[in-house]
Amino acid sequence: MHFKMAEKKIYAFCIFFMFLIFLTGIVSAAFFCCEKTKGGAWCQSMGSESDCDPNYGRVQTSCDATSYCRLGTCINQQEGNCMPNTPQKVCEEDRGFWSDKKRDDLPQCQLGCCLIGEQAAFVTHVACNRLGSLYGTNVSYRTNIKDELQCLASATSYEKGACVYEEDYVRTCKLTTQKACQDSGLSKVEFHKGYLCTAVELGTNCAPTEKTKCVENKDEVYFIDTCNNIGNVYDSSKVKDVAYWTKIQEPTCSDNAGNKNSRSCGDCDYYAGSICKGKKIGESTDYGDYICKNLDCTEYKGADFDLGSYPRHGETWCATDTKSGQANNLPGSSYYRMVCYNGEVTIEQCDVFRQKICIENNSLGFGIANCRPNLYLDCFGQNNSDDCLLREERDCQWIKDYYFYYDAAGTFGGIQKSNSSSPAGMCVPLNAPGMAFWNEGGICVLGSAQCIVKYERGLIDKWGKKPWKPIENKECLEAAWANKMNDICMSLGDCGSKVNYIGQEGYKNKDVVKTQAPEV
Amino acid sequence: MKSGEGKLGKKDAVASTIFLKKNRRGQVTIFIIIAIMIVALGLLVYFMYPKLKTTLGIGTKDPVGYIQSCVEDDIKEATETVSLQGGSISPEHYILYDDAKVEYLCYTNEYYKLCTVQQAMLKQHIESEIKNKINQKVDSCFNSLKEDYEKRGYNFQLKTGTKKVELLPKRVIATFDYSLTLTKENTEKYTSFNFILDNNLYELVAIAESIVESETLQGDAETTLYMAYYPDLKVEKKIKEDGTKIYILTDRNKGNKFQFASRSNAF
Repeated sequence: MHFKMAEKKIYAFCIFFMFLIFLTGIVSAAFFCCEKTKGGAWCQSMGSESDCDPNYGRVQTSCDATSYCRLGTCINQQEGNCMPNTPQKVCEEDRGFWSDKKRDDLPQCQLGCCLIGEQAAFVTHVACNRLGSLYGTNVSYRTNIKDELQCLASATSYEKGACVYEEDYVRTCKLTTQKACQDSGLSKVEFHKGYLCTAVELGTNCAPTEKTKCVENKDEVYFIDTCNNIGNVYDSSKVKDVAYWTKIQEPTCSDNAGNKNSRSCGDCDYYAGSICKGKKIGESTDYGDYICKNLDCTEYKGADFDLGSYPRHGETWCATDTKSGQANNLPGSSYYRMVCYNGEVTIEQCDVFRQKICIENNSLGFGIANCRPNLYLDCFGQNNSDDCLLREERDCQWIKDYYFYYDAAGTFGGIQKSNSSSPAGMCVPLNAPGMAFWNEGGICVLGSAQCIVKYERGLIDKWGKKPWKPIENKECLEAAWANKMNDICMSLGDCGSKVNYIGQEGYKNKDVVKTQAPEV
Repeated sequence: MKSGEGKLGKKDAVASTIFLKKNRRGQVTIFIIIAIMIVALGLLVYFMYPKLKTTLGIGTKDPVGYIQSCVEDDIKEATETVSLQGGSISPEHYILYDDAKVEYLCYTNEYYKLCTVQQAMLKQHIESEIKNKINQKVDSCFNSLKEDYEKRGYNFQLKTGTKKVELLPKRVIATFDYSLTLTKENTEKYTSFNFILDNNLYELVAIAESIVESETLQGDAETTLYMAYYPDLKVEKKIKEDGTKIYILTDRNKGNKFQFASRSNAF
């Protein structure tokens, strides 16, 4: 019995295409484009005209071919943003301006660098003007900057200083920029660049204090003076240092790790895992009520971290919901991405039915994990181990010595042992995908295996009523063969004899192998 | 007359005197207590008068304050409702999550396909939804104000104008351009009424729009990207069985939340 490689591939793809259909649960051909469905969704391809809202357009074609569901760009002329892939009706319902052009082709949707005070935003020109009016500040728009990172880097921190002025015959002060000082309209104004309001030589009524505060859009803890101006970054060793209260200085107390929960230093760093927050019970500082709060997830006690260790702020890692000690990819299980931010761990499921898996990398000493599609679909089309194991393109495993057998008519005949004229092995999913197995068997049919065992008995043995002796494929009578077939079956999906993700056995476990031996 | 009869004996006289003195002291005590109570009551009324007036419906001197307190609860409730339901008071196309009807902002019923935007002008939509929700209440509040002032003998002239709800950075502002003229002995004129709600919905909606854009262009959105940029923001993504994603945006400081649904590139 011989097989044809090319035909085998075709049949394999046919079966898996059908499996895809079962998996999706819907017929791939959608007939009607509903401008609005009865459920209230706009511009959907539905299988039946009766699913469409009769008060709106419907036609038997794809939505791209219709006038009412052609996707375009919706321009919000007030806010200045542009939303792609929007039907015209959806856009115009709330007084948006719709264009059939793609967003990148519209001049009013081009992004540039908007400088608002000391901050930058990569937005459209209209959005920039809008931000300026919302925040009551002048803006500057640069079209030559075409990259967001470059835009953010271009944000300049205007140098601040002491804006000294007279109020009610008292010489007082405000820490601000030169422009703000000049535009303030205050009387007898002097601007001293780089100076703090507590500088003795300025002679203001603002004096140092031992109080601290957080500043909006800044990570650090700052000293404040008696006029409620901020001083330099909190450094308890310098609270009485006159020089530290004279000019604006960079902090020198940093431990380069965010100074988490530091009593003495307020040089917090969000990306290192700390930010200025009010101190809580159990936290103490030498001065003031604010501290560099540790944003690591110190209270996380999952099994994925050893005792004493915990995830750091910004780290992500993979987890599954499979009961400890069980294998992965069991029925009901999923991959999850765990995220630690701001002292809190959140859980994100990658996908249902393991259609996505989680991959993680800790090579830089910092956990980074991501969900990505489970690339198992084209495993079955690979007939050699090199192609099968190409990790960049697919998530498969190569099983030696067995292959998917198809007869001359192309009918699938189960799993068979390889021989010299057959493939040397089979390519199956590395991470068995899940499925609604309670509805359909689907891919599991590929896991069926049949083994023909040849028995022999001589005439004398027959008259002596001795049992038949297996002479061919007798290994199929061993548990090892059955287990091997079950392993192959389990790799296909939620198939085979196994437990689920909480360790409960399937109800058909005992029917793994059916043996029909000849009668004595 | 016998001794002690009709005429007080010495002992009786002393007892009587003592009794009378005690009685007088008791009276004085009572008077002092009453006096203290009157003074206390007077102080109470003096300091609590505006609130007492409002509570007892006596009538407020300040129509602006009255309208603010009248619409406050409704605006808060409307804002909370739209925040939990993807921007709509009565969502039409939604998925149930945590007993809330969470509207789809981007949707496709197909698998392996990018979603079609269902709500492109989210900010304006939310403003309109809140405004429509409080419309009747605002009219009712002005009617109550009118009744109250007219009872007190005022001439109440109200010229109705537009109602507007705006989402602005860190606040939601409801503005009613109603012109009110009150006349009794003097004339008081009020040209606008507003209510400001401290809420980060503007910022959360901007993030939501960015996520929707990512969903329609790429089929997914990276939650950590937003949390890295905005320290006070928490972004959660919950996946439902059919591939729908529920995004929950929370301001860590104030607890304000905005959640919505999206179905894109479902496997």
